[in-house]
Formats: sequence, structure tokens, C-alpha cells
Amino acid sequence: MSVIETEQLQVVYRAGLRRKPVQALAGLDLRVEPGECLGLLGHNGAGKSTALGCLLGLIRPTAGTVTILGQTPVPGAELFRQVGYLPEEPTYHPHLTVREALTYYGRLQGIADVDAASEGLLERLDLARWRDLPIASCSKGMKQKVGIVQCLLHAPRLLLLDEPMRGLDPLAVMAFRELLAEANRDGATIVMSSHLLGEVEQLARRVVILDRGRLIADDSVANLTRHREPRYAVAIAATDTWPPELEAPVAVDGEVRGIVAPAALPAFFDRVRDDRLTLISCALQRASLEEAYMSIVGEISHA
Amino acid sequence: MRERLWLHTAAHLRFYRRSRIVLGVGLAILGLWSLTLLPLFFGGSNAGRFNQLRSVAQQLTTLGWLLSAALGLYVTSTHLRNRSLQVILTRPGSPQLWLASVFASALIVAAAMQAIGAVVTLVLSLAWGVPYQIGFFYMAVNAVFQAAIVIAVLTTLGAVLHPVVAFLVFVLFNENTFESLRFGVELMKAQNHGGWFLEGARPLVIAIHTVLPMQYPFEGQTTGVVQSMRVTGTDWGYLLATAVYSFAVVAVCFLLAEVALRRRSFATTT
Repeated sequence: MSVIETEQLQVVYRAGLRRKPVQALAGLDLRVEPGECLGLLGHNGAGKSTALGCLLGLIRPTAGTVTILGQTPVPGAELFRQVGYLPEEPTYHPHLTVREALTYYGRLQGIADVDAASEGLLERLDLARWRDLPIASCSKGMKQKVGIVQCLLHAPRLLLLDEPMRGLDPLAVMAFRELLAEANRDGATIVMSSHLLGEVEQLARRVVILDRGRLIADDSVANLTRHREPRYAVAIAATDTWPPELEAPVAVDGEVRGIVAPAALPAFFDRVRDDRLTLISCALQRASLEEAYMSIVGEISHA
Repeated sequence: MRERLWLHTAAHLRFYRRSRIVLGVGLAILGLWSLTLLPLFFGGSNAGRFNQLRSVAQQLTTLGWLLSAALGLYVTSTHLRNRSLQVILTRPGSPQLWLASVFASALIVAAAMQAIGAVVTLVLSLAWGVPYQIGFFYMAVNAVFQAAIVIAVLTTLGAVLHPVVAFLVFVLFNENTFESLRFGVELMKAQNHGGWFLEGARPLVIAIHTVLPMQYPFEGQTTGVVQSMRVTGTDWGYLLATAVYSFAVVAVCFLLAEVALRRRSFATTT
């Protein structure tokens, strides 16, 4: 059984004084299997947060169906015992202290001893010393850490994360990445929406790209990056005449570095030999998720 | 369920306690009240003590009512506007339970305010040597039921409208406004003024006036209690009727607020 299943999911908003219809999701079909770690990508307004809102029952779809863990999500459903949600905006109860807020959220999840359950998470995210600080006085990063703890507190089977790394310092990003990897190893399914493609690339094994409410790509990270044309990053010793096969050449520290397309590689090697240039390095450079993303979204925009 | 209801209620009570707006409004009302009442505490003959005590009790009742009336509106619109409800609704526990806790927390504050008022009245009656009349207690309990009506109406409006708009709607379109309108319409009809417009407006005004909840039910019938602080069997009957009426208003408002909440989206839109 899929953890998440949507069929022809559509959301239409009415915006402005004239109540003009805006299509936020246009027939999204999505399946997420147990144990997957899925990245949900797309420009601003592509429909990522709307999709997450539908998965959580916070937004009612105009048409189509959505099930998570075999049930239709509605606010306050019992199935949320097995779901952890990290909202995009750190909108926690500002009048409560970190400890009070976590106790409140944890007790609602049915955790008897929230202090004990949150201790490890607070320590790992370097939030333990701030537990008596009112949330209103917390920095953006601290609020995000509160969100992470409340989301992981009950060891959920499904994690829905909206811009999870937002506002976090590098150490916290690393700690959170480890926590997510551990949760995933323990069997948790993760769906994360993010603009930080490097983070998604490190965590997710599959990526879904949305554009104007439509699904335009759904593939593994490996496939998405592999299908882009490979290129070779080369470096030669500094020379007066730069080989014309070298794309975007730059001179750095007595070297000339650049990119060579696979088709131009034999000609490049011939020139290196004929002109007696010194080849320092030549390495296959796989496309990053960012490049793959830009290429896919660019193709759609041109189409 | 009971534990979750209490968890929400306790969170709301903390919210009231730590809110600078609630504190500021409370202090402002308390300050104005003190200025009005302080002269009563100085001087005055023994014969006039009863009237002073009655005045203090009435003022305390109004003060408690004012402080607690808008709390439901405040907490509802705050959580709806800053989207902190997202964290609650993505946990087990129905939204109705959360809504019930909003009503409950505001009612707890209303009851506490009236209880404090009743205790102050009792202490003053002992200090001034004025026999404590059961009417003081009656007024405090009656004020809790009256506060419940206003809390329910404002909370429901807060679930649908912007808090400022909700407050304006409450102030402008309440029972008193439509009572005056109804009186005016009836008067014009009796004097044969108005024509077709009056004929069309009259049933509408009557219908709205009938539907709108009374803020002070049976006020006219219980003026004797306010005057003498003595309570007859009939007055207790009116108190019971007020309780039943306020319970009905709270129930209807709860259902309307629940429908309004159910129709809302609780997430960002893109």
C-alpha cells in the first residue's frame, strides 16, 4: 500500500475582488511508497505548499482524491499520530516557552513524558539551553528547530516537510540532515518541499517537479542527473593560446580550467598533444540536480 | 478527549495571562474603574454604605464582563491569522475540541472575574458592616451567563471575519440597534409614514431583531434584584431561564463557528 496517493488532485482558488479563479494544482497524480524520501520541487507558486496542504487535510481539493496511510486526511484525524509536519512558516504558539509548546504538542500526540522524548532532539539541535525561552523571543532558526523537534517527537511514519532547512545554521542543517537520514533508515517516509536543491539532492532519492500546478518530472535523482549531457571538467597548465574546445575557460593559479563537451573531447586531446600543452586533470562531471532542474523547467518554459 | 480539551484550554489561559493587549486593556479598564469608584471608599455615612456596596458590585460585574467578553474573539482570530492552528489541526483531536476550548477558556475567565468581584463585595460588606445580600451573588452569576452570550457571538464572528470588522459588526448590528430600529419603524407605521419602503423594511427589521441574541435577557424582569439586592423565587426562575437561554446561544454560535472553521483553508495558498 502506498503511503501517499493522489489522483487527479485539483485545487482552484478564487483570488482578488473579482474572485478570479487561480489553478494551484491541475490534476496531480502522485504515489509515494513506504520508506521513500521524495523531494518536491518547483518555482514559487508551482503548487508545492498547496500539495502538502492537501496531503494534510488543511486545504480541501476542488477535485480528485488524496489518501495518506490509506485514509483521507481531515484536520485532527487520528492518522496524524503517524504523521509529522514541519510548516513553512514557523508559526508556533508565541506566548508559550519552547518547553511548554513542545509539551503541548507532544501531549496532543499522546506522549506521556514529553521532556524525556524531546531531550535528545533538543541536545542534537543545540536548543536544550533555550527551552525556557518564550517562542516569541526565539530567532527564526530557533523557531525552525522547535518545528523540527515537534515534528520528530513522536517518531512518525510519514514526515511532510515544507522548506525544512529554512533559517537553520550550517551545524543545525547537518544535525537535521542526520536526523532525517536516521528516520528514513528506520522506515519513515519523507516528503520534503524545498528550494535548496543541494539539500534535496543529498537526502532525496526521488524528485517530483511541479510547474503551474502540473507534474512535469517524476524520476529518481540518479536518473534526472544522468540523463543530462555529461561534461568534462579539465585543467591545463597556463598557456597563451587557449584551446577553442574549452568552454567558459578561466585562468586560476597557473592553470586554465574549463568545460569540454564529450563530442569535443577527441579534438581537445589532439590539440593538447599537438600544441604540447600540459594536461593537469580531466574528470567526468555529472550534472547536479540544480542543472537538471533548470534544464527541465527551462524546456517547459520554452515549450 | 478530556485531556486534549484541557491542554487547549490551558494554552489559551496562558495566552490571556501573557498577552500584553489583554494586560493593557485590563489595566485601562481597572484604572478607569478605580477613578470612578475611589471616592466611594472615602467618607460617606453608614446609611449610605449599602448603596455604595451595590454600586461597587455593579461596577465589578461590568468590569469582569468587559474584560472577558472579547477574549474568544481575540484568541480565535490570533490563531487563525498567524496560522498556529496548522500545528494543532495536524495532530489527533478534532477542530471542534479546539473551538470548545476557546469558548471554555473565555468562560473560565468570565467566571473567575465575577468570582473575584463577588469576593471583593463580600469582603467590603464585612468591612463596612453591611449585611451581605444574596442579590450580590445573583448579579455575579447572571453576569457570567450574560458574558457567555457575548463571548459566543464574538467568537463566532471572529471565526468568519477580521477581528476589527467582527467587533464593529457586533457593536453596530446588535439587539439594541435593531430594537431601536424596530421601535422607529413601528412608530412610523403608527403615524402612517414611510410607504412601500417601510412595508418592506418592517418585517426584515422584526425578523432580525427576533433572531439576534439578547445581551441582557430578562433584564427588565429582574430590576428589583438590582435595586434591593433581594431575590425572590421568581427571580431565581429568571436566572435559570437566563442560563438556559445563554446555553442555547452558546450552542448555536458554537455550531455556526464550527461550520465556519470547517469551510476554511488553514494553509498558505501556493
